[in-house]
Amino acid sequence: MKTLIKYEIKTNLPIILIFMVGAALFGGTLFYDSMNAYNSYVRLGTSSYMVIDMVSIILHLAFYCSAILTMVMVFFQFKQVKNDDISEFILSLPVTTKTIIISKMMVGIGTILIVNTMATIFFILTWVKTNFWISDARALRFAGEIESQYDTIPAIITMVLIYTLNIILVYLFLVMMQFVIKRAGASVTVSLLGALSIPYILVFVAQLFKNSGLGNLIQDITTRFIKTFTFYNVNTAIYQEETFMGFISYRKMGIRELILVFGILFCITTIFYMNKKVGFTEFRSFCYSKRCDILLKMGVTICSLIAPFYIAYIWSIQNYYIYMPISAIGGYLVINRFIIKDRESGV
Amino acid sequence: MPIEIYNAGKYYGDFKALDNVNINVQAGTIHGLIGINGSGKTTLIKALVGIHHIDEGEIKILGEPVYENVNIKSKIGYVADRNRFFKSYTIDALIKFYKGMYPSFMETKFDEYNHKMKLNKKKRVNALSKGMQMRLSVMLNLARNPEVLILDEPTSGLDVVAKRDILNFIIQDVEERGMSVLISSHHLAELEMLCDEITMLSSGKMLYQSTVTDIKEKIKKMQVVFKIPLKEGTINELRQLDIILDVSNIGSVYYIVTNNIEQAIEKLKGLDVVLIENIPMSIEEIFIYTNLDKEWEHEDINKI
Repeated sequence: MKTLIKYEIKTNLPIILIFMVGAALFGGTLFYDSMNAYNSYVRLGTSSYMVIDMVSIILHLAFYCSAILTMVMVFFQFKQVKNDDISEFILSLPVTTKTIIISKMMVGIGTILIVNTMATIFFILTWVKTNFWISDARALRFAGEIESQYDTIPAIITMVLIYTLNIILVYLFLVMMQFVIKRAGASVTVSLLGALSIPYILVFVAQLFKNSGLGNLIQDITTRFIKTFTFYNVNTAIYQEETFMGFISYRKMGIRELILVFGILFCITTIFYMNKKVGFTEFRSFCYSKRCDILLKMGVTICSLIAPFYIAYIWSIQNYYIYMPISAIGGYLVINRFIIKDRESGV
Repeated sequence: MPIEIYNAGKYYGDFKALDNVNINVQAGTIHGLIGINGSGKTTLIKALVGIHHIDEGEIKILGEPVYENVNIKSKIGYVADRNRFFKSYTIDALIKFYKGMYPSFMETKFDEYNHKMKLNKKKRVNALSKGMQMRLSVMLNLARNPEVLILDEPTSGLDVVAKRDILNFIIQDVEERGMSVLISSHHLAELEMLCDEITMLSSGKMLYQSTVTDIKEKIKKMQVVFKIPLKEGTINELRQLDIILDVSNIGSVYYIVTNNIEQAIEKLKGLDVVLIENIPMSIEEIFIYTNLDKEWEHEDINKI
């Protein structure tokens, strides 16, 4: 296991370094912005400034960067064991496939944890460094007392913790999908498109039922989905009530956290189940089974069917539904051809 | 027995790559695996080293199933047909990796081999030629002191000197430690010299498992002269017989290959034969003849 972990670190070293540089950059940005705030309006006490608000914005931006880096990391982690000649060398080593996957996940999740711990240290240092004058500034403000209740170190830690759960879920989802789609690169791409397809379809369905209560419900589900899984638009006040800190303060567990923890547990269970069932190499087709191929084709066809709706929205085209069958057939033909070509090329 | 394969079957989608293969390899022996391309040799080897699991039957190494068995896998050496190492690693880094993975790895033994092979340990794997990579693979695997060594085309890409050295290393380990070896190769003359027993695969099925001497005893080539040259119809009739693998002629001299010499002679006596003479055959020739008739080879291994 130790040797495998060393190998994993060596293979993913460039990505790990980029992650770390990213954490330093985002942490540095917070520090720089806080100092700027001190030099400008905060000192005058005319406007509010909360470190946790900046942390929220920074983590929101960092989420997309981290998600892309995570995709690259998963691709490199699985490229060798799935597609290259090296897979045979790795699989002939005296380790089980379970050990291989555990060592990969340890390095992947370990990287995320280390990087986020680094970022948290940056955030806390900034808070400590700026607290004395922010407190002074708040003393002059009417809402200063409420602000000081939200802008705390535990609140920052909790926010980073939830953000970490978000990224770990992204990572584990991508790893899980490696056991569904044969090729490492195709798996990452399908995972990304698959995740995007959920709000993509939901928005269309909500539009379809916009005049009924169902439309509003779907709209609400879509917003919830995006907020839960993308660390989107985190409002500090609401956040305080919905998170673990909220749980501590108000004895109320946040639904967002429950969904994230459940998602992580689901991915881990599925990864081990699929590892036993399919392993790294026992793929029967483009996906792990022909039935899964059919599901993928159906998914692509549905998404292609909806495509004219979005095109019409962008270019203000009327009667877009006329083009929907053509788009669906086109999408089906493309994915079908892709799967057949992949099957012919073999493993 | 160090290697036991019972009714092994493996599918790739709808294609059956291995079909009811049964092989036993005795301890301290070298066993050859031969077959034309696509006959299932590599599939079988991958199952033997625990890369794939088989869909039917059972594979046991040192008495235990091999797939996902860490203890057994640590006792198997595997030399693949081409470079399967981490390409960006130097030889030194690979040695370190092997030491971490296999506690039985002896760097001194590797250095002994390298004294002859002269590989620069600072070089990266992808900077080595195909032959050098093969040498490296054999050296790394032998330095682990495996109880079972499985080699897939180990001599491809090697020059004659390196080939001789590598085979000598293997023979030395078999003699000194009683290591069991299963080796697949297209160089049949090499296998003939090296192997105690040979198994032949064709289209995923096992044609035979026997010693080289037994195979040579069973498959014979005869030089035959008839009083009156045979007509085309008679030649075709002979070719249809289960015991006849091939019939050819140069002028009035016929060359008949059979898997049952007694029955073949009986049959030929009825055709007014003047001369029957046995011609020695190499294992390579036997391989060619046994792969000539596809219908025949798929029927029954007991014919041989």
